[in-house]
Amino acid sequence: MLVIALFFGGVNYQNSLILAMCFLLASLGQLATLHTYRNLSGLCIQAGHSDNAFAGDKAAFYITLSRMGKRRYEALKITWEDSVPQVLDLLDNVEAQAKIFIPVDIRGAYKPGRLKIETSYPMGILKAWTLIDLDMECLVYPKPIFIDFMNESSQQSMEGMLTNASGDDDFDGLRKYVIGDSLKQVSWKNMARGQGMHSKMFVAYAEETIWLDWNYFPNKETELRLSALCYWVLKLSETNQLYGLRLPDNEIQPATGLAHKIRCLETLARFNSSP
Amino acid sequence: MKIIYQIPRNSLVWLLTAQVAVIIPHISRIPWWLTAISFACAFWRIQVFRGLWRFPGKMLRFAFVLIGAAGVLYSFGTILGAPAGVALLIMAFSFKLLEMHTLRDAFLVVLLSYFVIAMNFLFEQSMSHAFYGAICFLIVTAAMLGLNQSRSHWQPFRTFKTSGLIILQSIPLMIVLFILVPRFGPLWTLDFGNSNSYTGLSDTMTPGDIASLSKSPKLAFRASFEQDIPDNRQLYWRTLMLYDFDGRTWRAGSPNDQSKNGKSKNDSQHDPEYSFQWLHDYQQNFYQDTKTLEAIKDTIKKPEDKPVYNYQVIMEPTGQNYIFALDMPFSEKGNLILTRDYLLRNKEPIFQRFDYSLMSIPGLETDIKLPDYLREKATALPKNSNHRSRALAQKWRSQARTDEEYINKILYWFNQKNFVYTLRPPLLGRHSVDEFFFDTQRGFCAHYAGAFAFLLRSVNIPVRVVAGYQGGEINTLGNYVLVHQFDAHAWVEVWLKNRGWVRFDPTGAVSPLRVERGIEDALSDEDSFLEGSFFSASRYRKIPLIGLIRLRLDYINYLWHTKVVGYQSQQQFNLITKWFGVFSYEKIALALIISGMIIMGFLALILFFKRPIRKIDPATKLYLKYCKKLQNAGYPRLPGESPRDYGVRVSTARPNLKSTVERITTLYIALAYTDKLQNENQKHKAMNSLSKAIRKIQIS
Repeated sequence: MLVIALFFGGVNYQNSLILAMCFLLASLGQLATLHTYRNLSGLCIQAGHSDNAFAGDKAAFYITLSRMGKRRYEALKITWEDSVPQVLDLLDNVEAQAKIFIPVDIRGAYKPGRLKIETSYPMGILKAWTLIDLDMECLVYPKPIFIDFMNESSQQSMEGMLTNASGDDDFDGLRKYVIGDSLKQVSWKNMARGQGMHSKMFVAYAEETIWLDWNYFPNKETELRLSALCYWVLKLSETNQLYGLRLPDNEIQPATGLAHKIRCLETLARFNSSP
Repeated sequence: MKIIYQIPRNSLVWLLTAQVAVIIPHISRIPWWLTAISFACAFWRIQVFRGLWRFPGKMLRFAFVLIGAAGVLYSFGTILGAPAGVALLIMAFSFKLLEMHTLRDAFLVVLLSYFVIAMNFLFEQSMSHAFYGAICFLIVTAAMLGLNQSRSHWQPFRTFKTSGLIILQSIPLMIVLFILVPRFGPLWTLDFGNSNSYTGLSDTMTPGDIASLSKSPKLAFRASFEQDIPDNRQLYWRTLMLYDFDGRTWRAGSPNDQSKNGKSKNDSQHDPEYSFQWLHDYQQNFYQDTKTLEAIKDTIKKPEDKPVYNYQVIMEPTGQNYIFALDMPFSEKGNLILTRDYLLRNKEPIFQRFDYSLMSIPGLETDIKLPDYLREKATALPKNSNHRSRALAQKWRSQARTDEEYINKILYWFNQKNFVYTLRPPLLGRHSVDEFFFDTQRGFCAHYAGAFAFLLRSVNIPVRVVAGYQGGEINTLGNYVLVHQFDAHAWVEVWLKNRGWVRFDPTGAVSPLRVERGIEDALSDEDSFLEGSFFSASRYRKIPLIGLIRLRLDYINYLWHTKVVGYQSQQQFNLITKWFGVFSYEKIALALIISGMIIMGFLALILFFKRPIRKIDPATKLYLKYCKKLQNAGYPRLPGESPRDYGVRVSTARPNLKSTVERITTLYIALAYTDKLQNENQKHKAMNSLSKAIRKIQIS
């Protein structure tokens, strides 16, 4: 548009310099095709890992872009269909990592569509883009939903029992800080009083094994049951309880720790009740 | 929450720089308050960026625009026309800075900046302005690049460099487009305000007028000749014809200054004395068919046997429609008009640098039969003035047998009496001719031409005063003549029986140097030459180095104006005809496509070609040197031959070299192919011994 306006201006005033400028702009525009394409070609795209997420949350996918030559890349916009775009440069760095969040709603394995990398650098008048299928995948855990249930053995509401259980972790006394003690356990009050570093000691009185059972939630839909189980898995691992998971087709022996928690969550995510 | 668009810092920096840069050349053209507004807007934008201020609200912006438009209307009296247009554009562009909410808005500001740069070329087309425009272009382009860069990119100079690189890459294509894209004439005409003042000849001549011109070193025009540049004595650039004299002042009262172009045939019927029917036939033909040009040139040349000058003139704007031409000009341009006095006029006043091509044939006889009305005009004198001169004229004429003899008598008088050529003549009273001729006897061309014409008219010899330029400075680099305002001159044309109008230059009788060498030499004893402009380079042009630099600079300038600024449809036509034989749009299109493809392909190659990284390690370098030595001795390494095999082969052929060759081979293999030498020190040692061994090896 500008080029045309300038062209007529130049022609009309018989002004060579205006025409020259108009031609310069035109060739700049023409050159933009090369430069825009160049800003995308020769790029090396690597799929990184992905973070699992709970349904309704956002899953993170990591993409690594790297270059082979000395060429600089600017303003590469990386998106999946639903994601918030992320803009990356490869200027002095040889590679750059993009962390892209995609909202996920449905439990199970999630595969994002094709990755889109686009750029309109340098002129902003043209857009070059590419779609790549990176075959990335993440697991979507069920959305944690609180549903109370009765424990068979103690005939206690699980919620009530848990509050008790946490009460079990009673404050027992202080001992001198030993390297390895969690900083959370350090009694900062004592330290502030200038009595040196001490750790608070807790004692768990009962090491009760809790079974999270599919059947604890009768009359509920599959997804809801899974959501409830997911909630309790998270809850119990927070308090470091020993717990096991029992599903119609799978059983995980009671244990504690992060690995156990992830294993449980993954099992829940992969669970397929409709055979 | 709405995300507020933030222009990347990179871009904002360049955008604001660009704004200042593109407005600077316009400052003299726009009202001062507009400049103030522009800079205020830029400042406001910076404050917004820093988060200190907010963008103005909708109502406020509306008010701004109204007040601004009213201001422009008030200052210019109109909102149409180029100067007011520029003012409006700059205003819109400044306000847009305060309304940059989206990428689109910012992009619009970039486009407006480009436009403001282009607008400057409407007023200025000199090389320096073009250069400045190029810098602005660079900055604006950098701003545009910045817009498309990621927000984290904060290296404005890298952006600037990239901008320069991309512009450099697009220049070849631009040149091709510039040369090949067809030029059309103007689609509609636009007036520039003619408020600008120009130096130049005025159409009256009162002693004192031309003297002030002589002090101006400004360029009047340049003329480049196809042939050798004629002698200085031939360079009488006729411009104005002064007929009417009131006792003190000569005025242009040309009997027929109206258009004769096109209607020339009618005119020649009206005026049977109007000779040169063929001249007009020639001009008519010229527009119809260029090929007849050569033929017609011949027909003119043969019967007359006169020299022909073909030249191109590039004149500075005068605000008038004068065209400077040598004697008997033939125009090749359609819009030039030939007057009854054989002067050329442009159809419109010239407000921009203007160029035209002419052919001149000096010494053609004109008006052999002088029409009565012309004779009347050319002999009219006011009564009751300059009685002494009148009496003297009558006395001399009665003594002379012919008009020619009488004229020579006057010229002899000028030459022999104590007449002095000076730019500082004394003031003259009512009877200026008398006072000058008998009392002061000091003056310059206007005095001599005026007195001479008066003396002739007193005895009824038709005579007219011609004002124009005489001589010029020759620039040998480009074979052209530079004519400055100080070359302004006045002379006369006398109608003589059987000869028509004949040129006489009475100043030449007083100061031959003025005619032969130019005004500067004529005034070498006097400091009056250019005394008003102490710093003018022209004043020092006799100093060799300065003179050379000045001429060289002018030559570059001249090339700029002829080849770049002056590249219009006519020049394009000539160039393309020269290249392709004919001017056809198909050929132009084809040439455009082909050259465009070549350029783009070439650029693509440069941009995408990955230079293979061939780093030869130092050991291999040394080894190759050794191979070269052996090759010179007659043992070239065979393709694919391993160093070990090669070494064995050479050793067998030249047993005396065996130990050295083996040593080199072992060292090289150890250095290049194995990792036996892990220690840096060891490697270094091995390298040293390898290089020593290779240096020492003597093959005879």
